[in-house]
Amino acid sequence: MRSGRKTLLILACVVAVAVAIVGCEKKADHQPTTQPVRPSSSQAAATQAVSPTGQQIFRPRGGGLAGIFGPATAEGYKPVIGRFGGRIVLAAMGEPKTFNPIVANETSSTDVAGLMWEGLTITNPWTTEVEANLAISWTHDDSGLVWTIRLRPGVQWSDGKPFTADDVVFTYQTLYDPNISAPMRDLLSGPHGEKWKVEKIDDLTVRFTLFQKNAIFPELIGQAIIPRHAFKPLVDGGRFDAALGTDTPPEKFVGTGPFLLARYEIGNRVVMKRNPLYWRTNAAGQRLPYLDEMVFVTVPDFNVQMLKFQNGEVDVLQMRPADFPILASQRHADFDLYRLGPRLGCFFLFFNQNSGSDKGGKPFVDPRKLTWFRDPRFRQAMAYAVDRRSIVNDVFNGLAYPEYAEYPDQLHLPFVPPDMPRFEYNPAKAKALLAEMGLKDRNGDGVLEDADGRAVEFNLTTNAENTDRVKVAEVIRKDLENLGIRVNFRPMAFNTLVSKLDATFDWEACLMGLTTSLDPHFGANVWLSSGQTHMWFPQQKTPSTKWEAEIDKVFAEGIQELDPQTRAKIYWRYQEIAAEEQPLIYIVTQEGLVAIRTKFANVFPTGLTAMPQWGVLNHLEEIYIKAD
Amino acid sequence: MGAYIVRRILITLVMLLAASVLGFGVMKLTPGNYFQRLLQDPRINRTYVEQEIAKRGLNKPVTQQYGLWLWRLGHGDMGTSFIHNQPVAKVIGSRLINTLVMNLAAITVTWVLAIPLGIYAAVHQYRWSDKLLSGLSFVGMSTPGFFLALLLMWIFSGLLGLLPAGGLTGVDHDRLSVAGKLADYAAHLAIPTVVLSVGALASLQRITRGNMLEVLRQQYIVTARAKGLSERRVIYRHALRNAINPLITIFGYEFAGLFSGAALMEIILNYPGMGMLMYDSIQAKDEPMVMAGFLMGAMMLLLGNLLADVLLAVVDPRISYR
Repeated sequence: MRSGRKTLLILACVVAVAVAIVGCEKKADHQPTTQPVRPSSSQAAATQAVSPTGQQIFRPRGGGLAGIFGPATAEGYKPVIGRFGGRIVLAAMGEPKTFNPIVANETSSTDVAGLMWEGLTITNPWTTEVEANLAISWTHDDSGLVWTIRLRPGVQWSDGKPFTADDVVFTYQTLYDPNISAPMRDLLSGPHGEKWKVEKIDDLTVRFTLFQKNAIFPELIGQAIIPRHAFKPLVDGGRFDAALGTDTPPEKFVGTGPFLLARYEIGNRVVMKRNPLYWRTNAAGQRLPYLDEMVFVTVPDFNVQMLKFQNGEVDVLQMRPADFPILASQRHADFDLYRLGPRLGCFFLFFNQNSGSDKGGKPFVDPRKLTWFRDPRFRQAMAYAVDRRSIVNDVFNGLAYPEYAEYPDQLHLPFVPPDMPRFEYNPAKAKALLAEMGLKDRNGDGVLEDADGRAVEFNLTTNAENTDRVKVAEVIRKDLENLGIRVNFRPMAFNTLVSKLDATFDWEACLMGLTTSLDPHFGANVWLSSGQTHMWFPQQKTPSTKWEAEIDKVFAEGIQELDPQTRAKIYWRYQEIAAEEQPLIYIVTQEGLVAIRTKFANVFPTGLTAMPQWGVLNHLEEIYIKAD
Repeated sequence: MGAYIVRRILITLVMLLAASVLGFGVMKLTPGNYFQRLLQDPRINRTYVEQEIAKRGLNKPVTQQYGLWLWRLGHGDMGTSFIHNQPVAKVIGSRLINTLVMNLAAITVTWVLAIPLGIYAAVHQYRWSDKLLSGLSFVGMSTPGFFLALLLMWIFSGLLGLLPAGGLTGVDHDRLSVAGKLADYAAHLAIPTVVLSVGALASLQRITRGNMLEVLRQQYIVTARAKGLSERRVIYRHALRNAINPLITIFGYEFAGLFSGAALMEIILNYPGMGMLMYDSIQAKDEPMVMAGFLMGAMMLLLGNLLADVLLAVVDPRISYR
């Protein structure tokens, strides 16, 4: 029996290790889904490039070095007729958890599903205008509630059956089916569970009757359409959630997209093959796509992704800022580098403004600190205090953009008013604002004190696994300390942080990032005072401030205005309030950096994406491999 | 012996139950759950998350959740993975073989090299060859696996382009002949095997050497030599058999590790094994998955111990159980 005690000891060790592992997390963050609703706005957004090809050349090719390019433009998008055949290999951080386009809730899954199933509309990757896809037109009646959609004739599912109105009706029935775990259902439902009525008029016409006017309806119908004939038995049998999982035989995947699943080698790679019945054609009338295969190799470590790219095992690399100079100086480069401008998504600092208390009556936030956090002057002072340029240089190798508002200036979006106030680095102004609040150094020790002589200090946190965020938070801490504010920086595991932000509310200041969508309405959950990602004070029953109430009104009004120009102006007000009140203090946006092998032609990248890797793969069906 | 084994297995079951209570409890003590983190995506709504939580009974009292889990386990159902939306057994099954192959390769290399090297070092104590082996052992033991993995990958794939940079198979694997497929596996297994065996090899070599030296000092060895037995016979017949006992205990632990992955290494070498799966599951709080992995690890450990004890009795006639 001597080994019994030993075993217990070892078991205890195993538990300890398990606890330790629970406490730490991988660098890569959980990437929230960006499908199927796509960014939108009505005006041109990418304006960086001007050359005849639509690509601004930062450095010409020569001496065997890589060419470095900017994004293309809508006018520059002129695909030429290419050659058929070949393969493109991509590296993926995570592997797909399901291929089911209705159930998928994170990007590793939606990226792959998005190749097999398409929506009625698609967003232009440069202008962000909504364009025809499986639908050819969408018009509404005078009430703005009834939309008539004409479907594209001649589209076939990959098993040869025609694509019809029945498929559209079936897709929305499935989405609204309460037994199915569809994360997008809420976006298509009213606050009291109201649904859209979707009816077939004839084989190629569908009528949507909305419960209220919806300005982003054309974007929302970018939701992937699934085949009724193939998937109805699964839904009827109650097996749809688990269906189309990673163990499903590839022939079950019936789609309209350019690529279909060929094999899934768990933990290793996903192989997609060309859909021979894909409806898009080139100028010569040949069915696209050009490439025979598309492979996603699972590579969960950035260093190894870089090695694999250098070793020629993958064709596209989403670079970290540190990778860029290495690849840019590599001789005999067989790849091009793209600097795609600011990515959609940025880092921001915010303070807990939650005035509630827990069940025991204890306030979530120390009332003394809460008065600071809820004072706009304090937040403005913080915005003045952060030296964003040094963050860009020190943390991101200069390959990032200082950020002062939700949307980068470079995008010139219509719903961002001109002359937004911005809080550029100015410690003197920050000090003055704090002094106005009565927070100043009263005893000459370099630390600010309040009227009662107590030091000004707070806790700052971020998710520890995101090393970039940790580094940015460190710089912020240093900047605030120079101002005389004591900041206790304590990064924590993502799960812990989320439960604090979402349930226990016992936090003070936090640095986070979110993927930005190009239509403000997709940010409604952040800006509405009742929203669950209204980070600084989520899920309010009634707005706790006048300005939050006003933002609520802007969003309620904006979604119902169907004229794009009028609608854009409505949103100006919320941008101005956000700039004035600084509930989210924007810090920095990373640059989209991608490398792709020169052998690929018809590459027309855009910067308007959260994942730069997909930015170079626009109109994937047009990409082909040049003859040697 | 038979009764002893039965008794041990019964005790193992009780211990597993205790371990599962502990594991379940620890997991429930960490904040948040898999679905809550989805809320950080502005496009996912609370109703969806609450529905998913209720569907899986995560809103029920912990004791009730444990009871339900245990009851299902008793009926051979390990639950459905939150992440993969598939039965846990199926997901684990897909990874288990990869881990097994990698571990078997590493263990074989380790044992085949470590024992002869250990004996050699003991027999040639304090000669330059022994010192060289000692030096290498210390380097091997003190090099972190993940670092060695990156270093080897940088040299053999980055600089020399000889080996693929991680993964299980090459992109063209399916088009290869049988021999080509085997070569492809071998090329991909080379770095993980080396990395996993280096550390283990170094310490096992040192242990073998130490045990051998101790035995070689015993009087019966002197007797054997005095009888005029050949040095070969002395070492392999008389010394080795006694030096090997502690190694059998170690072998028991290695058995326990057969199915458990090396998470850090698997992530770096993007090798689809149990380590990576469990790491992702723990991170995301995929509870049914974590519990299954944890229980499997505990079971293998207990069985490994039992195996070592039984083997010990077989090898060493001085040991007997009642």
